Amino acid sequence: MSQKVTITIDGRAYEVEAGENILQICLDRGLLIPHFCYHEALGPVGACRLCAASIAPSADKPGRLDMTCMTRAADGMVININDDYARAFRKKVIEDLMLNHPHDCPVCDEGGECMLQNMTVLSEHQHRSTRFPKRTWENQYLGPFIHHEMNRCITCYRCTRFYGDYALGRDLGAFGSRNRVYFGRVRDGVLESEFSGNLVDVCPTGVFTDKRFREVYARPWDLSTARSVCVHCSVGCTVLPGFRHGTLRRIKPAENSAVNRFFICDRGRFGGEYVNHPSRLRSGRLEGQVIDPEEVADAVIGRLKAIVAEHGPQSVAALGSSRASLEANAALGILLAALGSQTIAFFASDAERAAARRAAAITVSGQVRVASLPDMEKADCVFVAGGDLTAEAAMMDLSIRQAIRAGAPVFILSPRAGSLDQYARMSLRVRPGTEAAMLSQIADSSAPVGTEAQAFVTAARQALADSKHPLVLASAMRGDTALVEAAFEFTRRTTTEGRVCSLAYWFSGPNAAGVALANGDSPPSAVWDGIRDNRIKALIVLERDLSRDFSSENEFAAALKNIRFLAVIDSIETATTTAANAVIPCVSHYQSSGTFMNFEGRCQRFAGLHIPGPVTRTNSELLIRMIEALGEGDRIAGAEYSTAYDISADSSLELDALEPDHVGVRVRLGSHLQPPSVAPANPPTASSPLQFALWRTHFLFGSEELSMLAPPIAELSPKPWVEMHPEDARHRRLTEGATADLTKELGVSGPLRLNDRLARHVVAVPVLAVPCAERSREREEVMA
Amino acid sequence: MTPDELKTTAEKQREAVGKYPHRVHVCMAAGCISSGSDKVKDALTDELKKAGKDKCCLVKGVGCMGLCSAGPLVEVADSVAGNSVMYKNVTAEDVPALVASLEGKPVPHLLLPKDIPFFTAQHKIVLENFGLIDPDTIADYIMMGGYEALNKALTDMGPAEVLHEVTASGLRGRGGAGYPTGLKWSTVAKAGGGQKYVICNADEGDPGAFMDRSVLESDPHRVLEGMAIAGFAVGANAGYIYVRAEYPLAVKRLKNAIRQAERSGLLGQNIFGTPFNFKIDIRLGAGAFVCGEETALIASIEGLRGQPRPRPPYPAVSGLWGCPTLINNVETLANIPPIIRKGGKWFASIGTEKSKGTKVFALAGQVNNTGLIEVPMGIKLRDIIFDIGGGIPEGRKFKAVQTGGPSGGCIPEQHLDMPVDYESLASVGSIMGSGGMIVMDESSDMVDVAKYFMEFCMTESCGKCVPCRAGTAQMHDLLARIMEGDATMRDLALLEKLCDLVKNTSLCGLGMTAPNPVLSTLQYFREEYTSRLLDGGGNGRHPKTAAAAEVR
Ligand SMILES: Cc1cc2nc3c(=O)[nH]c(=O)nc-3n(C[C@H](O)[C@H](O)[C@H](O)COP(=O)(O)O)c2cc1C
Ligand code: SF4
Ligand code: SF4
Ligand code: FES
Repeated sequence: MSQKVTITIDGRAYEVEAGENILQICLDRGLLIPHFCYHEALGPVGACRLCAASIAPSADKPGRLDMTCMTRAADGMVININDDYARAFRKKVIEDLMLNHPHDCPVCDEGGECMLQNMTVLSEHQHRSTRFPKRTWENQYLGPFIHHEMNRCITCYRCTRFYGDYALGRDLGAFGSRNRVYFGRVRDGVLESEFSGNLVDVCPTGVFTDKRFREVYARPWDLSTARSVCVHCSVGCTVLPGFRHGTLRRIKPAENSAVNRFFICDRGRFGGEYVNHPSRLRSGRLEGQVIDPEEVADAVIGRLKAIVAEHGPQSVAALGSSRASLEANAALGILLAALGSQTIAFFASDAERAAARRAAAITVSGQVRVASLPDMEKADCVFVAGGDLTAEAAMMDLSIRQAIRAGAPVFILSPRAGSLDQYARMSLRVRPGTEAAMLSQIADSSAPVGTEAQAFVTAARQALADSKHPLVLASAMRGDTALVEAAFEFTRRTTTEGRVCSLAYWFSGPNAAGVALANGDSPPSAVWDGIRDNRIKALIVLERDLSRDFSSENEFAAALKNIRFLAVIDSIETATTTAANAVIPCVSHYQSSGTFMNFEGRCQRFAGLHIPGPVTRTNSELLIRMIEALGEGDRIAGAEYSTAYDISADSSLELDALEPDHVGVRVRLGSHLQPPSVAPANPPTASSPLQFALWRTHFLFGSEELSMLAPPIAELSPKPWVEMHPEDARHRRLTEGATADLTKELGVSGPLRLNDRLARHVVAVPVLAVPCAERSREREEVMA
Repeated sequence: MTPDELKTTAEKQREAVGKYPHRVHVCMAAGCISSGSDKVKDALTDELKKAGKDKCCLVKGVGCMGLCSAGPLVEVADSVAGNSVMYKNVTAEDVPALVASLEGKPVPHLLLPKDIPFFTAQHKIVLENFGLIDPDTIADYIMMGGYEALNKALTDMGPAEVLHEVTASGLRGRGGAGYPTGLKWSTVAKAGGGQKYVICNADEGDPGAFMDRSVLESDPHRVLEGMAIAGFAVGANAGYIYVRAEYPLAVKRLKNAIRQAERSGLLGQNIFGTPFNFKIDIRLGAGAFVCGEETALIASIEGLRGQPRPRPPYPAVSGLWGCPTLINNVETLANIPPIIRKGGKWFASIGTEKSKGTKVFALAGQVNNTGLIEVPMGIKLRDIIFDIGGGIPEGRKFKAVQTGGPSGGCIPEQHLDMPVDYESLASVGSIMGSGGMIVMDESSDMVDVAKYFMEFCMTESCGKCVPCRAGTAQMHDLLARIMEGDATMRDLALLEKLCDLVKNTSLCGLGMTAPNPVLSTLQYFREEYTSRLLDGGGNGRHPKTAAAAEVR
């Protein structure tokens, strides 16, 4: 396939692949050539003219000054980076690049990691020979994430190439021409792209900087950082949180060639600020008394032992979390086992559990090809079903945008249009729960098609027939097992000779796929029924706000009514911690170490940072302490990943050896691929098509509980509303802004918004993670 | 239209025109219209009616007759006597006299002799129909042999033969770079099957240039025919004409011509009953000079920001929407019909060894006859300026001639006997360019000339690559400083360094050629620079600085 050739760089021979980019070859081998416009993900454009070197096609031909980023390796090529003319040239180019640069380095937020500085030093430029006035600009307000400082611009076009060309954003552009090109929006306003934060990294100077970091700026080298995995969705991007003096200052993407490569979404970048939120738990609590975290842990063990002694081991149950690590959830299971109980559950509902377990098992079964993010970029036809990909797994969406750029048609089946729909070849607005049937119709060309979907299905079938690497993405977070099954079936059916279809599911949390593979867990109903029937008296909850699983506060309160003892381990105050008898505070995710399993069954280890503060223990450490307090420490020593989770012994060994700077390992299923052990609950809408179905709409900003504690994210989250198709609203004689009271039918009410990109006979409401800040503030006041 | 119908149309039109004993041709190109030729034409029509002569005299609006500086131009032909006279600076008031003269003697004070070198030294191929046909009447074009070449290509020749003739003609691109047209066509023809496009580059952004505009205004069908032949040869079924919106008349005539050609079946499906289909659309440019650069032009048609991209890949391989695309200049395409009609050999017999055929120039500046001219390649610059151009007005001395617009250079007296061809012009630091030719007399300030062109380049730089974006701005400011007498030797050194940088490292032709006006004036008129430097050691300071010193 690829052919090796030999080229000479500065007198040394290198074996490289034919056609490879010369600049990348040099950079990979530590031969630094100054460059600006080239970016590994964005590719070459040959605009900055900085990466010049003397290039000759062969040793006997004279070298010519050429751009290394625009040159592809060919056998015998001779490259001289250190050629005198090339050096002098680069020096002059960088001088010109900086013609208008304000040299405000001492007050610049790019300081310490400025590509312009690095390239200037690398190009040996020291002396400015021009003595004309510099052009200046007004800055724009670009929203709560990004600060704009146009005077620093060196006109490298990286920003528009990322924002527009790569991420397909439409509201940031290059304006004007000649020596006066302005990079910004048509007018001031919040940047629309879900990936705008990457401008901070992409811009080589300080034009686009992290507005939040600016407020609490620290020199980058003064930040404590350790590779971690983003905690805000199931994609599992690798990130680099930076702490200083006990607070999180910023989050940057860390390079991971198998996952997010260079970028992250704005929820990931700006959501990490939850770590600094006042509602972070700073002390332990036992029946209203503030005490030391470890003391609470010990006291909880005492109480649990007493309950077991009185009511038997089955009177204790646990609820694990999709935002806690494999290790912490396993430790919770061990703690429970040490108490003699098995009742541990992980999901919000039986349906969600069934769908997630089935999807996770398929993902790691090895029976179909599961797409990673880089794989998704190469798909030539994409089907997305069951939700808003941008809001629920943003970086998958960014990968799909790359496929779109390469010409892949995208077909979306969902009740409500999201950001990706504007680039889709076709979208079909469907009632929730009918996506599975539509997917099956596309895959089976002999199936009859209803008239409404005719055009969509015909086009989708045609695109599928024309494709070689189609891809199906389906939601596994809606409790729709039929959809999970249909996507699997689709993948198998359409993989034929000459065509490999791949598949990916997205899940409800950063470790949802992991806990979905837990061995011996129970359906959530087993826990709630046990509590209702007074069989379960004590509940241990790990990093989860149970109130989010109930549709109203009253329901939540009623469900907890019979519990005698509720113990919660978490890092933030939630409705659950507020209701708990005992609160054991742990450090935030970015201070914890552990392992997450992402949507593709990839396990990534993250290293926690030890940040001084009132709370220092991680969730796992606290759980282990509790197990040891029971005298069952041996259970920890003997624990295996493959006993806690349904993964193979080989995978278990691989996980043992996993390091945080690794791209992660994809695990394999331990047992055989079985149909879900629990029959799927009834699909969400068995209702007749004339009744309204409820669609809980996820938003990138506002629906995820941790990021909602970050002020800029909260600022951009939607206000509560009720949405209807204009036709439906007309039938009901409702107008925009009126109060839509659907409490009887659907349990929702609120100001009405009309949305013609919503399916008919569907009512949409936003999923909002309302922060518990007020509650915690009240509590603090009471305590003081 | 069938081949036979083409013949009958031509004959019918010849008859229709021939039945008038007298014909009056009024130039209706933009130049003459701006000096009132449309009013002259209306007055003529009225006056002839009044005089009852409208049955024996045909009034026709025609394309540019070349000597724009003497417009409005009117030619009066006598079919019976077989001769014609030319009038210059005609106004509506002159019309009664003209009408009265039809059977008598010409009007002496308006007479423009036709035996002057301006007319006799030219060689018209591209402009062959100029002044003869009504650009809005397809039959007029057909009468002159129009669409015969397309007919011949489609029915008698195959794509390979067309390619062969074009290659044999030695035609080179008239858009500036002079790339061999046959070679370019072959590359596109060879590019893998599927969709291909032909683009006619009518952006013409050089200041002072109006060759392409004139062709489109005066003989639009010639360009359509050239494009269709090109499409046939390279395997394209669609073409675009990218024309600047500042050329409303050209756009109007093009639109009309396309409609007529479509109606006559000369564009569209199954042209001349063959399987060949070809359609042409117009795309308007917003008048950025850089949008004439082929990759920027393509980006602009695609609806993107009109900025060039590095080549390769060349448009011939990956052009419009990633498809192989042939992009040629208006004049290049206008040469195609006669080449196919008369053969590549005939064309190759005109001109020099490496530069074949003729070249159209827009002659301007301090020269007696300004306007549009077409001369054989290899003609001496001196012949153009002093014979065709009639020399420098008011007996002033010639100083330099600028060719190639902002991308070209200034050529001084000592090189005037050089033949006009691509290589010779390049050897003296200029370029052929698209055909702008500005004559300068002794009163010209060469630094100012350089500054003028640099200002143009600075303003038109698209802002993509550093050398051009930052370099042109600095060079312009340095030139301004030299003009003001505020510069030193150091500034001049920086200017020269920038010339080198911008020339060698810019991304597209705009930047690569932007230093040419500075470089050539520095080469031939260096003392005009140094004498202005504060520490120049020349023969004196700039007047402004000198005056300031005196006051002190
Ligand atoms: C800055 C710049 C402006 C140009 N403007 C024009 C133009 O107005 N018209 C044109 O035909 N070619 C122009 N060109 C040349 C085109 O890029 C291209 O070479 C030409 O259209 C090819 O046609 P030809 O081979 O028939 O000359 C320009 C090139 C540059 C670098
Ligand atoms: S804003 Fe930054 S990324 Fe954009 S062109 Fe300017 S320097 Fe480059
Ligand atoms: S040379 Fe000038 S016009 Fe051409 S790409 Fe560079 S900046 Fe744009
Ligand atoms: S990195 Fe090669 S030209 Fe910018």
